[in-house]
Amino acid sequence: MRKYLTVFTVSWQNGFVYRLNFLLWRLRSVIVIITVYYFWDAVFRNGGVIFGYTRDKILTYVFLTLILRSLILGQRSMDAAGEISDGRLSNYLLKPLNYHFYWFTRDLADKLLNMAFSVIEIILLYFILQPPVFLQTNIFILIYFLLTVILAVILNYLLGNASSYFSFWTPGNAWGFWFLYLVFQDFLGGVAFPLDIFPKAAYGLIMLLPFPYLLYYPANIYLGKISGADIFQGFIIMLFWIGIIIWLLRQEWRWGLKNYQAEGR
Amino acid sequence: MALIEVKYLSKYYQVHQKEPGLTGSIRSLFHRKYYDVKAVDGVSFTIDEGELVGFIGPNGAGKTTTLKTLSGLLYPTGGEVSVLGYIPWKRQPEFQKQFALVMGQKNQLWWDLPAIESFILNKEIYEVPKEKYETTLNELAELLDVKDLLKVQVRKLSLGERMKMELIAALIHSPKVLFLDEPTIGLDVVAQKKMRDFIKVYNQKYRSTIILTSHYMDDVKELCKRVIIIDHGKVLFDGLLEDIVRKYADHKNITVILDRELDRRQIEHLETLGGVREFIYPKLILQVPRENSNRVASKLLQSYPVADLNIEESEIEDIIREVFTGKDMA
Ligand SMILES: Nc1ncnc2c1ncn2[C@@H]1O[C@H](COP(=O)(O)OP(=O)(O)OP(=O)(O)O)[C@@H](O)[C@H]1O
Ligand SMILES: [Mg+2]
Repeated sequence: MRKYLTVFTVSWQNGFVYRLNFLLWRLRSVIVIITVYYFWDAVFRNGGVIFGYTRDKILTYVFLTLILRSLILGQRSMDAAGEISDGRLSNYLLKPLNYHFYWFTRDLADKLLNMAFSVIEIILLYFILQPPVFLQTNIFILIYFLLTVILAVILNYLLGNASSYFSFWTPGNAWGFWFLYLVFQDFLGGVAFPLDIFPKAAYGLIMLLPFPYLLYYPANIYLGKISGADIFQGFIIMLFWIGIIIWLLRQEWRWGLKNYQAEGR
Repeated sequence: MALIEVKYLSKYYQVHQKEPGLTGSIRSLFHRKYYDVKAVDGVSFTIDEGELVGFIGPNGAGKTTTLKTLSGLLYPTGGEVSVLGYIPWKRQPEFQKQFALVMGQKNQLWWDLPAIESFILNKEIYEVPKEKYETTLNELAELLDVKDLLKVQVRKLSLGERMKMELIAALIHSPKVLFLDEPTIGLDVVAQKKMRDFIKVYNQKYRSTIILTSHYMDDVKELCKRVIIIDHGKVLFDGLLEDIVRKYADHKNITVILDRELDRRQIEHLETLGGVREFIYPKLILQVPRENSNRVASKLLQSYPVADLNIEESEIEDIIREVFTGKDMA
């Protein structure tokens, strides 16, 4: 649809207005990668195995998730919470425009811009840090990995917006829900550490939640650590959650609009 | 054919009452008392194609709430609305492509980009063909005299210039129905006049149907043949502006500039001459029935220290104020 293409380009133009911001943001992500990298490097200085991870394995995991993170978890649509709270949503409701697609498009525009820069940074970092990165060569795994990344992008968008839409009921407080979501991302999504350091039983339960499929699952597909029936099970769980959250979003939207007071203007 | 039909429309806002202070805040976490604000309470009217109707009333009367409901932003508590044959709050794209809501204090433009980018985005959103878009944009920019400003970052425009851009953004899809909520608010006298002229031209040239709210009676006087007066969510008057003026113009205002302060007896005696509208020394305004005006004027000249005296028709503002304060409309 052409209108979303224009949303995409306008979004980019808007982004370029804040060139300096953007460059600093990229710089930050590079610094984070280097810091985290050296942190784990130092932990494993004397070799050994911690939580079943060797130095090489953890460094690969860290490097990979840091890259995937900006692609999958980077999100602007938290602004939707603000728009609902202060009534700016009205602007969109007046027009023949789908609000969910609108923000998804803006997210995509953002991700692609960040991606373009990431690629350059990754190549540079690769030569500077010389990490023991494991290069996946199995074409089927790579294709499936790509699919899980796309699904993870969608899942993250849906979960984020499900959090934002709570603004319909608690205008101004939706940040609380966002914060909660970010905490889930960090600790149950595999951002802060790989999830298989949890005890077996807890791990099994966590893998039934949507959060591991944001980052941990795609990363481990790439690394070839998930195989056989677990691949299939993960795929089903992912689709299941996407379905559930689409349903939830629709309910939120429908009832939320009945509650919406178009305030402030 | 009635383009807009509103029947017994009501919109109640549910508001929870918070007692003041911290203890009040904590208490209201557990125990909330709700009450209804009857913002719109049984409003009915119909508007035909091409009409330009003034929708007026004091602050909090329910004007904006009505317009938001007609635009599909709010679900009504009760009643029926049909605009262009559509139910607004279903928000069908075919309906949305045919109307626009412009609010004086609100902005839809991308703040960091030139206005033209927002126009292009709206062109795509409303699926306006390229040639149509270009002629419309040209005409509007010409009429509003902002051709040179299209490529300037919106944040660098003045309030008046920005308001014009907002208007263009809202009109780029040539809406048949236009809701203007205080479009002249905050503008200087010259800009207000320009905005008014534009609205007039737009209404006549494109035969668009317009509902306009404003607190500036000049807007209403100059633009609207018909007015709907609303207060406390209820319609007080719906008819021709000239009818309401005629009905209330049975009074004239006598404005007197006094030479010196009045004594007690003179002040008391004023009441018998007419209604005191305003009395801040040295200015005194009396409202008197039309047929008495000459007699009262000569009385004033005889027995009061008058420096200057003027007899005028009632101002529309006064008339509207009388309607608001509930003088019976029969
Ligand atoms: N979101 C809301 N929640 C609760 N009450 C509201 C809300 N919006 C408006 N109201 C109340 O509804 C009434 C009507 O408001 P509305 O904005 O329609 O008035 P208005 O006629 O546009 O006034 P103004 O001339 O000041 O713009 C007011 O008493 C207002 O306090
Ligand atoms: Mg208002």
